[in-house]
Amino acid sequence: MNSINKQLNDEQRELLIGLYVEGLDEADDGKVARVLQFTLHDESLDGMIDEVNSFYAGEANLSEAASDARLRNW
Amino acid sequence: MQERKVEKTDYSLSEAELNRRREKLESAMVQFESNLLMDIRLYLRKFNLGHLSGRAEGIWHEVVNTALRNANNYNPECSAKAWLRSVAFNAVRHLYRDAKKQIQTTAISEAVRHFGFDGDVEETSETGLFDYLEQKSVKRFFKKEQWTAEEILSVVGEDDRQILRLRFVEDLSAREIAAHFGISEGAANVRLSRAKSRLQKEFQKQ
Repeated sequence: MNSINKQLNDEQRELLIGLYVEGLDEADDGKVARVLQFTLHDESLDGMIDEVNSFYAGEANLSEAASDARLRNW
Repeated sequence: MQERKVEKTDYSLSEAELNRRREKLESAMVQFESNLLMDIRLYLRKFNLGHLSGRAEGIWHEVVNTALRNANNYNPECSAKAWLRSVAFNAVRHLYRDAKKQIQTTAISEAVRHFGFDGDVEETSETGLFDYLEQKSVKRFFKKEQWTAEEILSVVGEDDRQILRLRFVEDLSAREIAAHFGISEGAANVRLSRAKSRLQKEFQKQ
């Protein structure tokens, strides 16, 4: 497992969120695991993952806080 | 034959330090239990293990026990919640691999192969990973002089065109896009990522 050494910038976070969404949508566990490594040291990315997970939970009706479920066809 | 040494506990940690780490983890467990349970259910669903969603609480208890047992491996400089989420994801991942009978680290996705990337995303160095992601990013399409932005956007549907235009032509961030549509930032990020994937696929066809 690779260590994560530096603070991420916004562009890198966007790329990682793209990889995470791809990993979840394609059921690619390696991609998801790789992105989660970065969340250990980057609070902003961790918060973005929270937001993405909340959206997915709403999409799948996993949570009552499914306020974005109306976007499920997007 | 030399006896194999199996040692999982870091005995160099003092009892006080180990307790400090456990306390930090326990505090996060209490504070984020419902979020992490939701994450476990989400991961089960996304990895085709939705039929196991009734076991989510059992998996959470396993995560709690595993995390406390391995508190010596937790770096207190890191977010406890993020570490617990990784432990939770790994628990689901083991179930997924058992179900798929996959061998660890050998799976390379079609997308990765397509771009001639000969490593596993998970095992790639940080620099290599970002080089790969930037090379793969649809942003590069918009930098090429032979196409106008509208020509590029014409290959996807109107919904995707709209969000990609905001991101790459008007240069809005995901937060600004979320505000524009009146949706959460998470929704904007998922929608943007899916639109980028569809644009990527359309370009691959051509």
